[in-house]
Amino acid sequence: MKQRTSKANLKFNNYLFFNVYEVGTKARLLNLYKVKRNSYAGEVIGRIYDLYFGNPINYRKEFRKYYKKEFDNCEQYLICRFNMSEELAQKICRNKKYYVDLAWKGDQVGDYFSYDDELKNQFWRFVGGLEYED
Amino acid sequence: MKIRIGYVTNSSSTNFLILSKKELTAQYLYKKLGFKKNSPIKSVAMEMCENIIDGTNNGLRYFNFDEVTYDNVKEVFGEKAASRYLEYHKKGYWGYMGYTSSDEGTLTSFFTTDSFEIDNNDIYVYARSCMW
Repeated sequence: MKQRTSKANLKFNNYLFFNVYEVGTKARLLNLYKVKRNSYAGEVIGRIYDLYFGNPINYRKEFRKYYKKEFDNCEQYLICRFNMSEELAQKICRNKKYYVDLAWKGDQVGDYFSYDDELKNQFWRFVGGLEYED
Repeated sequence: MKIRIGYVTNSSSTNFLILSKKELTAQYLYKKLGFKKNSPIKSVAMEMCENIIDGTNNGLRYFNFDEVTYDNVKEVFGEKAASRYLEYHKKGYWGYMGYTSSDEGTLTSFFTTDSFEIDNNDIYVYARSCMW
């Protein structure tokens, strides 16, 4: 299976913005890691996937549903909601629909992975890379 | 040099029980835990399996039992694990007890600090006795 090379994910403060189609499914990640789905290894990798991409929020839907009257467009909403620059808001609006608030997430396995540079870099390569904007 | 920022604890250790259909080796454990031959994390996964095998040779943490018996399993891991031991012992499974430490590598650290049970057709792992 081909590895993703584009920078699909963008971290800004405690938020991770991404395009779910670029990140891929959990099943795809398990295939890349070559671990069986219903196994201990599968559960470990699945938990790392969920740590970063589980329960994502579609900010465009959020904007349309709750803030459309308050802001002219989605970019203005992002600028105000996340306190980000106009340039960054435009960049996110171009191809990223989802975000997760990492401050509310935590998993022991994720912590251990984060402290191993090799494993961490390998994970982000598999899910499309990571760009820091904070 | 790596600097860890945040909550830092002392190292931890966990006693575990493994009941295996075949005699336990690192390769057999690697396969049974769900890693495939050409997994890109093979080296860290094999390291974890070897640490677990080593752990079975070093006895238990805070207990002084050498043999895997119903009474010993019950005292260390509780009634549920002991009943599993009886069930699998009758089927001719091999029994192992030991401990791993969170100082032993990334996946081993996770294995140590996580609380879990694995029960598939050929292997049973009880690792709910975390001490950290």
